[in-house]
Amino acid sequence: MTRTVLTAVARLVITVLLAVTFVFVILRVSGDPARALLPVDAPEDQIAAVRAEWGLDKPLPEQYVTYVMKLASGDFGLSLNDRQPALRVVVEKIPSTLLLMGTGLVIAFTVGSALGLLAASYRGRAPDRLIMSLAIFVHSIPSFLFGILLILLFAVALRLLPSGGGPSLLHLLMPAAVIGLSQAGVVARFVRSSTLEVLAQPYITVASLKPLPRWYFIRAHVLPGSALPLLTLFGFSLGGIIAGAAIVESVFAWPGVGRFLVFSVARRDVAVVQTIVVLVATMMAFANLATDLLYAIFDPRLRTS
Amino acid sequence: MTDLIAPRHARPRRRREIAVVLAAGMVILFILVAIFAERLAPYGFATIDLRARNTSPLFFGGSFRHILGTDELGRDILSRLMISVRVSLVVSVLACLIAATIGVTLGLAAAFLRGWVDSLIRVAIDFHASVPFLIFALAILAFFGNNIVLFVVLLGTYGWERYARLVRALALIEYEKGYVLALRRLGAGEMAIAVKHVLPNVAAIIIVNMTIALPELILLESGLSFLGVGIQPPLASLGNMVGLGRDYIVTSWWIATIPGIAIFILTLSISTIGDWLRDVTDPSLK
Amino acid sequence: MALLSIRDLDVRYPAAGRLVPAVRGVNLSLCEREILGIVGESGSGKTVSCLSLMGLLGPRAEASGTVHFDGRDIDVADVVHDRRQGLLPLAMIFQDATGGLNPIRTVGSQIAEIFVHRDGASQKAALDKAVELLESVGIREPRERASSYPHQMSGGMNQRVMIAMALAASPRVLIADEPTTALDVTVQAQICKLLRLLVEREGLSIIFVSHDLDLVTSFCDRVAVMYRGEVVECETSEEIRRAPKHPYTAALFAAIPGHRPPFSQLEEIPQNLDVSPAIPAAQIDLPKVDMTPRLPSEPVERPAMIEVSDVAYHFAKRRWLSRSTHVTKAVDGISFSVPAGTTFGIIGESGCGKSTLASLLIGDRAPQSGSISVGGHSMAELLANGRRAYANRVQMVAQDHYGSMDRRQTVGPQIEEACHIHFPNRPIARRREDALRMLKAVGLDETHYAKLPHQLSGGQRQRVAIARALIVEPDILICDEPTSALDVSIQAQVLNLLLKLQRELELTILLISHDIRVVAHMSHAIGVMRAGVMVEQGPAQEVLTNPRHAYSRSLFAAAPTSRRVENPMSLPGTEPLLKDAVP
Repeated sequence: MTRTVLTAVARLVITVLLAVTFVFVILRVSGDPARALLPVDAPEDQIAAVRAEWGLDKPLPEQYVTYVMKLASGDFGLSLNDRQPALRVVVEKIPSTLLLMGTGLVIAFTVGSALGLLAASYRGRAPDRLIMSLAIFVHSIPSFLFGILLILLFAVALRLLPSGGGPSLLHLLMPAAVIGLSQAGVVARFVRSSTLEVLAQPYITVASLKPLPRWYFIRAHVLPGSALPLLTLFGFSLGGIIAGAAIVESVFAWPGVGRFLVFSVARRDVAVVQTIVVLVATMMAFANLATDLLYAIFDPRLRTS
Repeated sequence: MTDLIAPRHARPRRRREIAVVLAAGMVILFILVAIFAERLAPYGFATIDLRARNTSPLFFGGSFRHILGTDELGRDILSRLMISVRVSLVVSVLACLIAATIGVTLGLAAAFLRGWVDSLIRVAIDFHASVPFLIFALAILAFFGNNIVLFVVLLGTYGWERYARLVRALALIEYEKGYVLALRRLGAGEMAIAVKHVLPNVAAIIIVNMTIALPELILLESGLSFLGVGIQPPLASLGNMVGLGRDYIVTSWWIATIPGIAIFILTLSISTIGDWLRDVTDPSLK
Repeated sequence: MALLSIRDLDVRYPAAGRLVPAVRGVNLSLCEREILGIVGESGSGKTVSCLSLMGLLGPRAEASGTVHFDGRDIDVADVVHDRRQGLLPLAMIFQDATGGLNPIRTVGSQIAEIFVHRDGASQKAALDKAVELLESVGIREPRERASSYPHQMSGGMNQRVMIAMALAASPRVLIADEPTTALDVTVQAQICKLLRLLVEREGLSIIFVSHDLDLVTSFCDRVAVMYRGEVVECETSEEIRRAPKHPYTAALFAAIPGHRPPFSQLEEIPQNLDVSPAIPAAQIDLPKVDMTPRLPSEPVERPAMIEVSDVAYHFAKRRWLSRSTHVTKAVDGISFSVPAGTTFGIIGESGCGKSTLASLLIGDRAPQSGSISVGGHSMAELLANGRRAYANRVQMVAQDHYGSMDRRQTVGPQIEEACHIHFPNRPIARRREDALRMLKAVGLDETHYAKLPHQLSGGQRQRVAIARALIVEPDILICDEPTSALDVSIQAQVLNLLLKLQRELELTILLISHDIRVVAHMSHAIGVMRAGVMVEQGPAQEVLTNPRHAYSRSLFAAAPTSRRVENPMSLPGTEPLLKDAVP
């Protein structure tokens, strides 16, 4: 168990470090980092000051160390937006994005697992085919089109919901639905195939021969096996949801990190972009850490071998 | 012999075959449009006709002059759509080929060379999978600015890790199989085994994976162009048509919706084919 | 009076647009406290017959017939799709015991849940009962074991757990479908002993399904022989052994090595490929078995073709962040030599190191110490410039006949490729000629040349593998469990072929197998392996009739043979081996 935890933590540290290195490399390769971190019209002495502060006049390894240390201390540079520290500007917007992502994740997993289980239990029959067609359907629809259609329907035609803005619960409904439903298809397919895989296991046949009530048989023998692989999917779909958030927040003008990222990219606000990349990588790394640990807790084959 | 559950063969899936044929027809139509865009387009894609601004499509109050209506500058949507299909398809197909080439090469190298090369490639795969590609792409575009070559190359790094992971895993499985062992025991050279036996055995899966990755690339390209950081005007792509039309959604809904639906039909068709291909080539279903 | 009887059981599966019978008009009866054996080759319908009793046939099967159980009549069609019928107090155990247990639950809880949900017992009481059951099936330290997971136990222990789980449902009949096929012979003997004990102690009746005629006729009270979906013969074990009535039964006996003198021709049951399954077995004309033994080829004094001296290979496994190193001595100081043109048989149970030894002999890995020499040249010398020189002298036929071929390529070119590697100067036409000649030599013809591996039967694929190995013109052929994945009648064909080729080509054969009958039939000399050491070796006759080492004795005693075990309770038990007691 200690070994599992140590491996997982090592993986986390390596991933985050890699993300930092990646940003450092493209920052160096793309031109003068000092200029990149400052507005185009910044005076020469300010550029020189930044250069000294980030150690850009030193040899590369030293630059790298300085860079890592600065990020570790929370200094990601200044945003072009009001010259605020980038980290603070980004962190301000995290809660509303987490709210959106969390709701989306809940929708994706509840709707997706329910439909996946339903499809698996009707394998090959009409409900299965319908659900699987729907899964390809939502997988193929661009989320921005989905969003626009929802706006046309609920905001323009029916005037039920606000077309954008927030953050409020009413504003949350449409973007969360878009994020959740686009991922629900992936979840449904995954749950379906993992359930079918479990149902084909010999131990299911053996257990089905025991005098056990139906509900207990499903709860104790089918569900644990088909739910365990969902842990893998969790990390995977978190990536999809983060990416989806960038587009969906833009469509619905949701004041979160995703929309801010797109906005900053258009303005080439390097400090903000590097902050977000490092934060996203850290978040993903933590999700993977959680996945590894949960696996170790729930799967005895990993716990005791 | 002890098949606990007797094999359940799927019933003849007529309906699905019809869907696949329809999808294939759609894809062919899109390809033809992409090839002959200029000849098919009734107007130049950038031809501005200020007298015919925001014309509705046919059946929605419009006329045969502009079947799919016009945009806020009076440009014919159908003509723009045709050029956009070409741009989007070319960009995504190129990107798809680049990703497959990178991924297959690295995956094979990892499986073939093992050792530190393998470790390095696996770390790269892990890292690439740990940052959502859209975020990665946005970061690169923020640092390097935008141009079409960079954009295509950037999209070409989408999904390489999936090919690499898949090819590596499959090649490792192939290498574990008895026939590779048998060939080695016969004294066959490693290069001959890799090229004549291992690669052909994983090739089918690579092609399936490409048909699954292509619609995702189309969505990605259009997503980035929609956000205004992909294909830039005056060039048109399906995504930037939606992005530019978004501002007129309340007054002229068709400007954004029509290209959006085109993306949807295209991706749905390719996905349907890819899905079918995956099922027919999946050995576990045989 | 029969406890359970099956009348006119028919089972059909739809295939290619029509219903194909899997079982036709089967009549069987089982008395109380009886062990009824059902024996047959794959596809004979023996498993299907049992599954239909359990309602496990799957949704697509169609079945008819009646089951008479303890005074009640049940229509098979009513229970065939309903595995939870609960009508009959039957329980079933399977070949893959480890796969039959839920991997993420402790074995104790998987037994206890039955008491909780059927009897309303408390968790604690249920677990106590489970522990009791585990003890009654011969699991030591049952309380500790109850909290283990299936992956922490050996296959034999898991099969015991499966039996305990079956008993928890208090069945009157236990159906055992190849329960010992995946186990070592010594463990197989223990499980058989346990089943016999349950009959005596609990009054259980057992249907025991197996492919091994020797095993069922030595262990069961009565035996039903199935062929092509029909029961061709059902008699007491003694009767079947003494005078098999149906030609198929006789042929099956004659196909098993051990019923004929060593090196003699085994009976090859024709595959009747032209006979559709719809034709009843009685109409199939099987050849009368020719019981005259053929003379064994006399081994004469010959020079050694392969000499192995003090070879060792240890696997050292160091766990991450751990200082201790775990060493497995897979091969630990093995020496033997094989005279040219003879066969050396190596017997051992799983984990004895025979596979590692095979990989050393074929050159997959180099021995860590000791030396191997082939035809007077050392292995290191032959391997100095790639594998070709060595491969030219030593070839191998592996157990997995399907996996050993590239499934995307037709088999002819695969044989030619082997030829090309070793004789690159031969023109293409000549290579093709050679491949066809080789195919003929192994009993195939040009129609098989352009077939893909999956279009051939298992026996044909193994012949192709032999052809591919022999086209290289090696001196030594290593056969690693060459027939373990094949039915007995096909095994007979392959063994006959190997004997013929050895005579014609003066081949030196190293035969590795877990099946003592195969080794005894084929070998001039035999070595017995255990835990990486060859505990005993010598001329075949001597080792087999007068084993010196205690392990050899227990191994030979546990193996099913042509001898009738007079008192089944005295089945040579070989008290639980170490591997069965420790995880």
